[in-house]
Amino acid sequence: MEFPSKGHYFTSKSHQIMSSNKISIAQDFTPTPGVRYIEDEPNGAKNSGERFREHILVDALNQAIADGTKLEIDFDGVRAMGPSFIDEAFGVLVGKWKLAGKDVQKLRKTIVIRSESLRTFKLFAEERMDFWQNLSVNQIELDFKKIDKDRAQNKTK
Amino acid sequence: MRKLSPKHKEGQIMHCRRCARKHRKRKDKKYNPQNHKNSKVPAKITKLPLSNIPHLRRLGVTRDHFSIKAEPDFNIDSATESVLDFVQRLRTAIDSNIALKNNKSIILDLSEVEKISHTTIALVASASFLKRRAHVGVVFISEPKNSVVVDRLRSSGLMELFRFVDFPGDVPMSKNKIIPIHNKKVADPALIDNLMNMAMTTVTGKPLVNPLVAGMFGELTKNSFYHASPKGRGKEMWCISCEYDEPNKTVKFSVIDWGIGISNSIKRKYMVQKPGHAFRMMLNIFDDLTVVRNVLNGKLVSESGAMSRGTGLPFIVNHIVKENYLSNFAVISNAAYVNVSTDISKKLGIPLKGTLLYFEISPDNVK
Repeated sequence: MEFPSKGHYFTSKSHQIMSSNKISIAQDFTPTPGVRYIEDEPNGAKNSGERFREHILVDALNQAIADGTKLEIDFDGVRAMGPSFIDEAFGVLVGKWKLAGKDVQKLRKTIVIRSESLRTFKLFAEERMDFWQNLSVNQIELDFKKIDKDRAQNKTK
Repeated sequence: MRKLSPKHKEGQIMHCRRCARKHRKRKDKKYNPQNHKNSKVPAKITKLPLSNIPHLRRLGVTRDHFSIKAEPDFNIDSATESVLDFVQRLRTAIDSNIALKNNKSIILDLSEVEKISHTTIALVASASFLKRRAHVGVVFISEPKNSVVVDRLRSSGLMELFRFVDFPGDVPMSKNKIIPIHNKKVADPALIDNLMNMAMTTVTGKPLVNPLVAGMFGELTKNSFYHASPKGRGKEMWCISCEYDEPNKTVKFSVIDWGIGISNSIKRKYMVQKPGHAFRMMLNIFDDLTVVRNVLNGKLVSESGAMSRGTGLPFIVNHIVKENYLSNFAVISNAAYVNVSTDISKKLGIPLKGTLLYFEISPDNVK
């Protein structure tokens, strides 16, 4: 895919990734994606699902939707990846999208997950996205409140 | 008598009435309970030799040491309750040492043991690391008669942990060693990666790590860390153990934490949030086994109470175990034992305070 005309002005990683319209988690983020939240990252490792979603995925996704193209997420090449990372990166993305009143169907059509070596990752990511998609806005709101409360408690203690 | 400030010291000539009485009491070394028959203050218990107190005698306590005897079958899989009883007695002994501020020796009598698993050794080790240095120079093992058991104990590094290690987190990683980690220390991703590398080399001959299993192992260790130190309150160590059985090309992993356990943490949350659940728990319908099973199936969620959380264990059950990426995956927490692979579950008479998870990877699990 050709990068948009003003693309060369962007210098952030997410926009560089967008030029190819494909995100390889192992190459563009980390080969060992780990925990769920940024505050849980051990020893300065930048490998949380929240970081991936907020710093890479959301920007790339917005760009792909604006361009009307698909965004390919490649899971191949990772050395270890847990369910928390997948849920935080993809499931919570759908939840936030729905809470913001955006078109979730469009989001689901834009994201294409590839996992040639291990199909389980792809299945689980889609399972989590379905789960969040099927929740009502009230349920999502309530869930985020509980999660925020729990995170705040963990931080203070 | 003239009233003086109560701050005055002993040895002064004049005493107020109250202080004079205190002074007399201090002098009276032989405290006679007969004089305090009508007093609300309970009379002092006469000091008996410890061995005369029945429940302590049952625990094998003498004046100088605690002795805890293990059964011949000392395998968590086949003799779960006997191992848990042993571990509970060990914890009682260490607790009492800490509470009474003494250094009474704790002798683990393994002389009759015929059969022992690496997971059991790891559980015994982790039960001893109640507090930093609480075990060093205090816990001793009476050597088993069976030479196979002796070899297993030696290769696990248990003896070194009891005798020499100041801070268990500093134990160098090597094959078959138990790796205890301090509660404030998260498992290093590099450590997990190394362990998985060694495991897959043992099983397949090549360091071909399965990202699914490695991710799951990382997730389990992360959870153990949080449960060992829930919200910064925990004072417990947690522990990883890996046994590399090279002749059979099998690797056995176990992850242990001494938090409050899966069932108790869920119950605590639901007691506060949903009174209906609290009522059912009071009627004992909602027992530990049901709670653990529901957590494994994803019907009950974690401590945060958010319905979108608690993805870890159901992911292992629904994807990793079902797709045969590992075998013999078992969970022991509070009074519940659930082996997902063999579909055996039972209520335990003697509960485990924390959580123990173990699983195996063999050539059958490699695709």
